Parts: sequence; structure tokens; C-alpha cells
Amino acid sequence: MIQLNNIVVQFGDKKVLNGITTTFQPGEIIGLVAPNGTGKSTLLNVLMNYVTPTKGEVTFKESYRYANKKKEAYIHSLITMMPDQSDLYNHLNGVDHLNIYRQMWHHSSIDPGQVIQRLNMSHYIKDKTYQYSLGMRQRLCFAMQIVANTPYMLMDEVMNGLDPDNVELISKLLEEKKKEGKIIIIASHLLENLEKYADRILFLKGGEFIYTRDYREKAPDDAVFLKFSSRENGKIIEEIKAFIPDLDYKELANERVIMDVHQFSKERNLQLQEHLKNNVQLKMEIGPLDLLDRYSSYYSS
Amino acid sequence: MTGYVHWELKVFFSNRKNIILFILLLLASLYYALYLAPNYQPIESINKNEIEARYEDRQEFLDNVVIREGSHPLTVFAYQIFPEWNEYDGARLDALATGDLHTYAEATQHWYSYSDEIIYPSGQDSFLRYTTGYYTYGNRFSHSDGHYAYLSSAERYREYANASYDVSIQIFEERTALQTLQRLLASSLPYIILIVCLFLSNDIVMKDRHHLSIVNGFPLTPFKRLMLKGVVALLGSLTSLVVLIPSFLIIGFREGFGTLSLPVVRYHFEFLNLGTYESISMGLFLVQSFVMMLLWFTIIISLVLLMSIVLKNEFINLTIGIIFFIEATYYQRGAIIDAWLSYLPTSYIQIGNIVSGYRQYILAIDSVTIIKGQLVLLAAALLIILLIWFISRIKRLAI
Repeated sequence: MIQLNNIVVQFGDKKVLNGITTTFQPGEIIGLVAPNGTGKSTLLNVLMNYVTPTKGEVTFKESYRYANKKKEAYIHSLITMMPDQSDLYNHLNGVDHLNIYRQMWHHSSIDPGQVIQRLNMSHYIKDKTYQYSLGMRQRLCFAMQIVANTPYMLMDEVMNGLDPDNVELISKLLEEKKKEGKIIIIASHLLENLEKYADRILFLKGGEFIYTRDYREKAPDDAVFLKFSSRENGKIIEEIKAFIPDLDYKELANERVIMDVHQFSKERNLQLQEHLKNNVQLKMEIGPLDLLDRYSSYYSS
Repeated sequence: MTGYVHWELKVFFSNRKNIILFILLLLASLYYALYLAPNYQPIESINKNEIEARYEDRQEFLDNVVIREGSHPLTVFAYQIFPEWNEYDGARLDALATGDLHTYAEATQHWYSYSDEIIYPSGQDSFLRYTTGYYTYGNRFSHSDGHYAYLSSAERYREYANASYDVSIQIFEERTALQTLQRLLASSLPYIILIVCLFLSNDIVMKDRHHLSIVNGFPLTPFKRLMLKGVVALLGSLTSLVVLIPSFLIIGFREGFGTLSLPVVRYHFEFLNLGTYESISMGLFLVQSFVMMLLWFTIIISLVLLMSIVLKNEFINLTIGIIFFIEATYYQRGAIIDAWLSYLPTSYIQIGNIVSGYRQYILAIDSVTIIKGQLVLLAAALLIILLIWFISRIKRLAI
């Protein structure tokens, strides 16, 4: 278990994290969502003790805190952060990288050969890393962390540079690690796919969690929206306003127009759908807001 | 922990800068072994023709001179000293003719002792001179150099005379591989090796800057990580000694390797020219030099570690090299030297000369001793490591 208790991180006058309090449980994948520069990485750095919080503390396994360097070394034997692909040693090969993670986390690590097979890395793993493509490097970084096999894993933009097959491969592996009881925290601003495997999504804004969604529970907000997007949103809205003058709608940053269907009478609703159906350029959907909509909704300026 | 050392060793030995340094050191040592060492001409060489010429000149003088009242004092003086001198030179020539090098060594020991007895009291500006090689332009200490060379040679030849191993002209002229190493340890080799150590280790911490997300997460305390880096830098620096082995072998196959029982003269300073010359074995000399070298490696590497976490710039780390040359500013031959300076680690940079005691001779002090040197260097290394421990506790090791 990881407990964050009132974490405040302040750089000068700017509060990057403003009293974050939450608990992460074993067997949980947490998606940490926010645009760039809004504190995601800072939160991960606090978890690794690369950034010391101005206030608050992080507790691991109910009693371990970053009280001194010895404790830090112990906690680092339980937690890993996925390395940045630009930090790989270009003059060494992938096996060297996997081996150091196996040796450094020898209490928990697993056989690198097994991970190489699983992630289809055999054909390039013995080449020096400067020859790797972006996706190959990303897979190696992920593999390093999987080899370490620590109970807590932090990943920053894990799917960056991966093709759909590899995204699928990694998603499956993450699911398996979750079933092994690991806490996996994934920071990302790419929402595709995150919704599929994350148990909990946390939106970070202004140094606080502004939205939390637990996919293991029924959505608390069951509002149903009519959503559409087209190249001519403005024109279509004008057309709708012609027969629904008091239209309550919102245009999101992802160019989607959303409107709560509860505002319409049954007839108006049918009339609206009929009208939209006639527009061939338009993509329409009815349902609750998905992660992308929420993201656009929370982070559109 | 061993995993981390393996990893650091792998990174260290695949580091392009380090590979280039090893190659340069290898090439320089091969150049020395193939071109410079064969041309080495010791001042105290064995020159049969020279001995013969000297012997015959003196003998001719002795055969023809008539000493009477009113003879020039120098004629009388020569008449008094030449017989014994020629006795030794005669014995040397006979021994060389018969190839009896132990007898040659015995005669040469007496020759050096007797020669010094005659030449030294005559003073710097006397007509009596040591071997001419000491009288070079601008050398104010040629007489003193000759004095040291003669008495240390006497001691060396005393050992050769009693040696149980086979002696050779190469051994007498200190051309064997071990003696070449000894000679180099008394000159430029310590500087070269220590500078190489500095260049090898200067980025041992700072290179992590490019791999922070990998190394910062390792489950090691910063102090332990730094110490393990130090161990790797030390092993890497010791490898620079291994790189010298091919050159050692080349010299050895050409001139002989010598034995670890060969004598190395150690001087103990005493006032009023009462200093003593005694022999230690080559083995002991090399072990003591190696210990000093190891202590210096430790100091340099510890300083690199310390500066890396405080100043965080690998180029600034290179300024550590200044410590190799500080000693020259306060230890000057002929000057009056304060004893407290011997408590500075920088006073022990000339490793071979500290172990042989030659520093005591040229500085006319008894304060720079091998034991004190080792203790001072050890204390300095421990102090720096203590500082690293302290700073690594209070400072974040984010490089």
C-alpha cells in the first residue's frame, strides 16, 4: 500500500501539488492524467523521493517513509520508475540493461530471458541501444522495470512511441502484473487505451485531484449526453438553435459538442437526432462522457 | 552491491574516453620500451676503456714520479691516493677480464667508497670531480649529486658482491626491467599514472547525469553508491598499471627482468653528512611504492567524488591535478624547509624518491619518511571519505 498524506510541492510561489491525499492499494492500476507541466511527473518524483515535498509525507507498506538515506534505499528496493528512453546507455546493449535491473533488484527480479520472449525483443536485444528505434527503446525501458518486478511500479508515458500491437502487448502484461498484486501508477496525457486497463483514473489540475473515476464501481455521474463532432460545429449549432432556441451545450477542446439529453423533451430529442442524422459529415453518439470528453472538459481553456 | 560494481565496471571499460586513455598509455609505454629505454645511458656505466685509461695514467704517474722535499702538494697528494685507487681499478679490470662479476662488484664497492672519501671533502669547486655526467650546465648541486651517487653505488655494489643470484652488467647499470621500473618510479611514472587516474575517474559520478532515471532509482544509499564508484575507479586505475606490462616484458626480454632480491638503496638523513645508505630489496621497494600509489589513487578518486557532489562539473574535477605540482612550490633543494610541511599529503608525490629516501637527501631533511607519508596519505584519504559521507547525508545526490 502507498499512502500520500497532504503532499504539497511548491517551487517558489508556484504550488505544483497542493495537498494531495490518497491511497493506492495492491493490485491496482492507477492512471494519472493531466496535460504536460501540471504536476504528474512531480507526483511520481515525490513517490521516488527525487523531489522532497514542502509538506506531507508518503508512506509505503504502512510504516516506511523517506526518513533517511537508508530508508530511501530500502524503499527503492520496493519501487521502480520506468527509465526514460533517452537515459539508456547507447554503447551497451539491451541485455546489459536488463541484467543490471535483475542484479540491482535481485530480491524480486525475474529472468530477463522470459521478459525478452514475452515482449518480442529477441531480434534486437543484443544490439547496442543507439541502433534502436523509439518504440524499441520504449519496450526496453518497460522490460527493465518488468525484470526488476518490484511491488510498486511507476510509469511515465509508458505507451509513447509504441505501435498498436505493442500497446496491446504491454497492456496485457500490465494486467498480469496487477493480478500479481502490484501497484502500478501510470502517468499519461494519452488517454487512448488507459481507460481499458486502469482501475482508477485521477485527473490532476491546480495541484489537486479534480476528478477521480474508479472503473470497478458504477459511475456516480450517470448523465447521458448527446455528443457529435463535425467540421462545421458552429453551423450545425446554429441550425439546432433554430428549432431549440434555449439550447444548453458545450463545445469541448477535442471539437466535440456535448449536450445533456435531459434538457430535451422526447419530441425535441427525436427532432434533434433526425436533424443530425441528415448531416453525413457528422459523427454522433449518445452516452455518458468518456475519458477523452472529461479530459477536454476539465482541461480546455 | 556486486551487481552495481559489475555494471559500473562495464560502463567504465566501455567508456570511449577511458579506452583512448588506455591506448595512449600503452603506446607511450611501448615507445619508451622500444626507443627510449635502449638508449638509456647511466652516468655510472661500466666503461672498461675509461677504467683502463684512468688506471694507466695513474700507474704511469706512480711509476715515474719522484717525491722529494719541495714537491708540489698536489703531486704528493696524488702519490698518496693513487696506489689504493689503482688497486681497486686494477681489481675491477682483472674481474672484467675474467668475467668474475662478483669480484668486480666487490672491487667497485671499495672504489666508490674510496673515491668519495677523496673527492667529497675537497668540496664543490675542487679539481677533484665525480663522474663528469653530474656536472651539467646550471646544476648547482653536481658535487652533492656525485656524492649521493657514489655512496649509494658503493652500497649497491656491496649487495651485488654478496648476492646469491647471478649478477650481470645489465644489473650493474640498472637496465633490467625491474630496475627500469624502479628508476621510472623515482622520476615521471608516478605523475603519469596519477594523471591517468585523474582522467579515468573524473567523470565517474558526472557521467550519471545522462542516465539519471536509471541510476537514481537503484536501491543503494548515495554514500554506498559513491564508494562503489570509487572502488570501480580504483580498479580501473590499477588497470593502467596492467597496461604497462607489455613494455615491462619487452624490456625484460631484452635486458633481463632482474630479481625481486636486487638491492634498492635507501637513504636516511642525518645532519653533518652522517646520513646512512642501506639496502632494501626490490620487492620491498615495489610493495611500498605500490602502497603509496594505492593511497594516492584513493586520495585522487575521493577528491573526484567529493568535488563531483559539491561542484558537479567534471571539468572542474580536473583541477585536482594541481595537487601534483604544489610540492614544487615549497620543497626546493637548498632552501631551509619547515618540518611541518611533511604533514601535507602533497609532500609525498614523488613516490619512488620517498621510498628510497632520496627526497631526504636532496632536501636535507629527515621529516619526509615512508611511514609518515603513508600515514599522512591515509589520513587525508579517510578525511575526504568522511567529508563525502557527511555531505552525501545532507545533500541530495542529484547530479
